[in-house]
Amino acid sequence: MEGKNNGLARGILTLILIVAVFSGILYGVNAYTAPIIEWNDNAALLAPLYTLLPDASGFELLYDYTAPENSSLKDVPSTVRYIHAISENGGYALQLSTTEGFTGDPIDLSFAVDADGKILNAQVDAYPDTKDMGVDEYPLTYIGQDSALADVSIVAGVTYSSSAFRRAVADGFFALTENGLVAEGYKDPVQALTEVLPVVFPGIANNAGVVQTEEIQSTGDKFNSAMKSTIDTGAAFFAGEGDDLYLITVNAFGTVKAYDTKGREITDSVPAEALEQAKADAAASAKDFLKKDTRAFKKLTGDDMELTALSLDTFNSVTGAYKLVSGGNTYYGFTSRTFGFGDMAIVTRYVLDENGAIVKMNADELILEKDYFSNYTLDETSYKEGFQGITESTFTGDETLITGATMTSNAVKTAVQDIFEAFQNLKENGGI
Amino acid sequence: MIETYTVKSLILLVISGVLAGNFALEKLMGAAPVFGLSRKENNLTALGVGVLVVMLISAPLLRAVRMFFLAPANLLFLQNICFTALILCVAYLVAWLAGALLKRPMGPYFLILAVNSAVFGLAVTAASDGLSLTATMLTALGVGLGYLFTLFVFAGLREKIDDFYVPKAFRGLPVQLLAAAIISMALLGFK
Amino acid sequence: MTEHKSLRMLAAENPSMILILGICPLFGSTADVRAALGMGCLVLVALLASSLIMGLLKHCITRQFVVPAAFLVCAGVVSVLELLFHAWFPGLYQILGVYVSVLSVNLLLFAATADSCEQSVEKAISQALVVGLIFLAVLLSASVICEVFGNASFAGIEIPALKDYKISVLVQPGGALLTGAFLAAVLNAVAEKATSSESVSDWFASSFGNAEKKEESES
Repeated sequence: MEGKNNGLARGILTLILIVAVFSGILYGVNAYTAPIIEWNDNAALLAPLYTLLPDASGFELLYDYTAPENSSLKDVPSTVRYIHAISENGGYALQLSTTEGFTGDPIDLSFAVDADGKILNAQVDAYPDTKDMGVDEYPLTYIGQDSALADVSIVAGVTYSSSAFRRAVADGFFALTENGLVAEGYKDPVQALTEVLPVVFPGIANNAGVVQTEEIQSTGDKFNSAMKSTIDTGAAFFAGEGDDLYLITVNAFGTVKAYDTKGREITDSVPAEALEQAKADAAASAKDFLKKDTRAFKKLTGDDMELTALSLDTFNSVTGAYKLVSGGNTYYGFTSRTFGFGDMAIVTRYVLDENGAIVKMNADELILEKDYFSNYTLDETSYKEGFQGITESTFTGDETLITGATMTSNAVKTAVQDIFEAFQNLKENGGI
Repeated sequence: MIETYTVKSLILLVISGVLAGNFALEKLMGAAPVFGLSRKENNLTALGVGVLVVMLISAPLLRAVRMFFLAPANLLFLQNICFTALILCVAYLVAWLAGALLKRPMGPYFLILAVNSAVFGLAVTAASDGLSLTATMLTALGVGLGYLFTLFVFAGLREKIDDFYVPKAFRGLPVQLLAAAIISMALLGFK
Repeated sequence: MTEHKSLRMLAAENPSMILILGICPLFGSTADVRAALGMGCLVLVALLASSLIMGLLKHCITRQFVVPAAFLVCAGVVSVLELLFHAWFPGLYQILGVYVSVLSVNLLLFAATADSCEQSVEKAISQALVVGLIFLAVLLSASVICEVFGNASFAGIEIPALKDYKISVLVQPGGALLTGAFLAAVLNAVAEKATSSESVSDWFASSFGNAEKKEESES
């Protein structure tokens, strides 16, 4: 028995020895491989930067999105992955990734700026989208730009991906200017207001955030420019002088708001006549949809329905809000006008019950260019019935999906989000 | 660590471990001992439950070792040998316990089955994915149950296949692999 | 006790045994020919190194401890190779991912290593060489089939002619198993001993199962 115990002890000792010897060998091997592995990882990380700036001698990592707490830079947008300082010229190289492109797959890009904040070079590192925006040429149009990005345009026909690229570059500049690394470029007030407009009035811009307007005639002489949405969701005006230029927005219900170049609301401090003028001009150019909406909602709720128009101060795609009384029940009807394929209007109407759940949904026309779309699949009746019972909290966005017609799907998704916002707005203002 | 899991997501972790994340059939880790099991193997339940227990003990243990020892001490290059040694210890412990409880030795094949790539792969993936303790335990439970499930399915399949005529070249392993391929494709549906 | 049958004899009788034992690294890398080549060479080198080490150690290890010792030697050898592989072939290492680490407890490697205790060092090395080369050949043929027909590419280079005829299931585990099934059938047909009653668990039982009993009778 003792012999067996001895054997056991010896065996275990052998095993421990094996582990110990291997640990020693591993320690040695690791001492050799660790620097190589680290160098490889760095090289892989820096590879896009060396194609961006072939002559650069070195980069120093300032920000790493996997460990933002280790960086001294603050308020870095989530699209920014790495920020490197360029060794020789005091500039910075940034690597970014955005999922706001057409397919939603990540577009990777990188750009470098010099110490004055002017872009030295820009490139696309990964572009999964099928529609080519000119991955080789388009980034080159950014060379020489400062943080204002005044002279870059969106590629016609590939607005989603190219504006995602532009926004990512703007995010990168935001990280640099917020942290005082480069000076902010001069943004002329017209450009600043043009950028403020889709933020404060989403209903006037398509899903890519590009404003879709046409010029209108102003009866007075207060405005530098007057425009209205191409699909009648509202109007916008530029007023004021020089750097004090400001923006007036009017929604489809005649609610007026004013903003300065930084996007701050200044409705109370601008001249009342300007607001009045804007309201009057907007009303003059607006179409009256009351009759059409009444007819459409009667079709949804029955001919005995009583309709009262309500007013909203939301600036989204909702252009009509009504209280509908039918058979002793009260419902709320909303008309939304969103930008669909080719930036044409997709008009959808929703009837909500008093709890904010969708009772019925209808659309004038969902697929706008039937000839163009050949690969969409849609059973319109069951698609529309699929909206029944959805409330703001149960809406996931998947309900609006039409396979093969992304633009329409996105437009309807925006519409549904907007009508829920409108319902909430009515509730808060005591309209319900 | 703040754990923000709903009951639903926790149950999902277990179920996906059994079906969609089935290590033996979807990642092909630990599949070798499953195919290699003898027809005569009679204590399949004991073997399968033993592997499940080894997984449940070793997954949190290895996670702790990696988190609190290897990573802080910069010794991640010792991970493989360290994990193997620990899994061996756990497997011996479980075999000894089971032997004492069942009054029957687990047999040498238990070790081969227990120290397999499913146990090891689970520990490595859970550790490098940074799963929380709860998630690690539940994934281990799911993967362990999935492994048990796979063992039984294949034991049953072997018997069924024996009842039918199989072309000569396909006898033995090939027909089992074919069956595994079909199950694997079916499990893809759960993803 | 029946006479010990070496892994090499087993493989000669039924080469698809190697496919069973090496199933995990085999199918972890069939979707890319480069990955398969890397993995195959890695396994070959690991087999040679661990068989050599175990062959040299065999006098220090009592039978009872062959199984744990073999596992530890495999893990050690794989760790060393993993570090070198990571350093020298970062791209391939990225593709293979966790499958390289998992090689530590691979059954093919383990079986060959444990089996080295039963024979002379030269025999153990030649066994490792034969087993490793068969494995490499099986792995390469499986990956060529899977990558060319599953992904319409060879070693990452696209084959335009097949672009519209991808059988995408081949790059998934199910397709890998399917390819494996047909390869095993080919191996069976070549070996002309299709139905070997010997399964892996029987082989282990006969090789290492009586360890404790034998130990006791020896002492």
